[in-house]
Amino acid sequence: MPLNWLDYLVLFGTILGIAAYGVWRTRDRRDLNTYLKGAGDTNWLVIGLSVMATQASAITFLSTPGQGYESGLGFVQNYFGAPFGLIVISMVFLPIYRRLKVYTAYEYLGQRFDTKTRLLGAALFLLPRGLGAGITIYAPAIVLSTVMGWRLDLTIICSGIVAIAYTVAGGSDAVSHTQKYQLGVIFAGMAAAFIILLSKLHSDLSLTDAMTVAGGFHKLQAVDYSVDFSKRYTFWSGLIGGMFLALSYFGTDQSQVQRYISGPSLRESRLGLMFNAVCKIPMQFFILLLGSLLFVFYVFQPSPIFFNETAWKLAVQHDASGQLHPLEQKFTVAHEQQRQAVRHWIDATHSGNAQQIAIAHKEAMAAGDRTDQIRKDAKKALEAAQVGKTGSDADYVFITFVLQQLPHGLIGLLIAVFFAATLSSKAAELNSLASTTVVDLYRHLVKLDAGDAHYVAASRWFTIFWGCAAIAFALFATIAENLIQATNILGSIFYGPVLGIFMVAFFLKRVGGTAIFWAAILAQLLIFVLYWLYQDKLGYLWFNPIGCIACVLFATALQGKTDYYPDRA
Amino acid sequence: MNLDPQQPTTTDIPASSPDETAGLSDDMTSLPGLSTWPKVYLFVVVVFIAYVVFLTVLSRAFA
Repeated sequence: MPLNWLDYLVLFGTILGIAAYGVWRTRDRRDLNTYLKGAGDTNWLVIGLSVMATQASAITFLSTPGQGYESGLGFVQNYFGAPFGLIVISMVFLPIYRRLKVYTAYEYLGQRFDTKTRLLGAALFLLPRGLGAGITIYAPAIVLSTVMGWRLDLTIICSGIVAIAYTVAGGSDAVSHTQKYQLGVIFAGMAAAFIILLSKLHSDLSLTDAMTVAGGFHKLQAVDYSVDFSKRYTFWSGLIGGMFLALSYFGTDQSQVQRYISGPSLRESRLGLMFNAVCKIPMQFFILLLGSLLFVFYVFQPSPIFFNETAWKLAVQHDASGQLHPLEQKFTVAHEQQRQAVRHWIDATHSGNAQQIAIAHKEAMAAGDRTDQIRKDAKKALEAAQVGKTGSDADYVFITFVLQQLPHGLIGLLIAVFFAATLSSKAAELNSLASTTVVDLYRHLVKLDAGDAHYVAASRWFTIFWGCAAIAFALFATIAENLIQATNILGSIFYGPVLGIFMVAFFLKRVGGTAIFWAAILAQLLIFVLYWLYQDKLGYLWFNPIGCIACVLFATALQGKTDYYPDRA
Repeated sequence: MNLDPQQPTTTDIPASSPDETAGLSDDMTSLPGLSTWPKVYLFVVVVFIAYVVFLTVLSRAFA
């Protein structure tokens, strides 16, 4: 369903209204401290929402339902370590950052170790985060432009420019205050989509029946206690790997550190972090559950063979082999058979006859396997047809539901959700990239003794620079993985060694700058090699603890070999 | 408003420098029933366990 005037009114009114508010609210930010850290009047709820909004990009709301549709609730385990990581940050990291009054996390490394370690920490942040900023802007743009028929390059450039504009104007404070309202729009939109999905499901079956269908197709397997390192998401990989990932991301990634060190007191910052420790898992659970229930919805409602219908139609038009159209017809028949088999199974569950239920369930699963196989064949045929960027089809599930099932006005609101999430995380990333560039590189290496006005101007220019770099990256990007996983994989490759540097800084006082510097480089090389060799055999969350522990062990060994003593700056 | 009778009220705090006052107020969470940070952390862990139990029961119930 194309957008009408009401959708566009809601979309542009929401997005531009919030951005304009951010510019107006922070119009008098002039000194460096206020520009980079905010006015110091943000309460714990704003800090908590800001931390949440920075992590929750459009990828979260576009791609996570697709993850739930495809693989069920298991991805929620990715966040099991987050509460523990946030507790450690609240107890150890945060008091140190506040006591030293640092602008960036890497400034602390300079004070604890030396300049080269500070620069290494900053570089290990800037490289993946700079790439990540490109993914943040590219990921929703590719999906939205495909389904809406918008030009991809214009979608990327326009959303990038809005984020750059209010981040340049208001700095950290603008980011925090706009994120509060952007998250309000996001929650309202997602709740509306969830309620409408439930009401539409209710026309075919009860909620219990819907949960039975989802569970029967293994979409509600939230916790897996098996000890299998090759599985991406288990209780153990989530708890241990996820804790290290959370420690690195929330504790050492400047895009997050900048959100909570801006609090007026340690108490407000801690409460903001604890808010996330409590809310993160249920938030992800509901988004994944939405995806699992979308699976049930599309069992009973007509479902496309390929959710990226634009790519499919294009491929059908240019199908030299002539196999796509027959596949589509075959899928329609198989999907109807699946619907009938599942209906039969649900009726059997109402009868209470265990043997009848087991047989009907087996038939429903077999019918499901047949439709899955046709979908896989279609994907292969589509790839062979080479119609350009298609990405993961799961990323198109939720947006297809939004466009085809939601009423006008709400469609505009949900598109606003995706843009609001893009802008909120993008602005925080740009703000942190600019802060790190100015504080750790420019002010430290290039212009040492300029006034606040000069550094604020430099921060604005570096925000524009990183914004343009992200737009340029997005214009040339192509991502095959499910988007939410691609972001986490990229982070997991770099975060372990960075966390190792901070762990040594906090807990191993006898290790000096030279030892930790080379240890971090060795650990990073080790992760590159392990990822190259074992990316299919080792769940990516495990790279976080391995990188961190390797860095700590290398540092201890190197310190013992050279017998350096802390060479503090 | 101090809701925990075990904790000193602001009037009980002797005159001190702004930094020291900030340190004291940082130690108090001002949350009803969760007056100290260890209690807050314990609450977070208990909530996490409740989530895991809920998700495990959900996984088993609809397996």
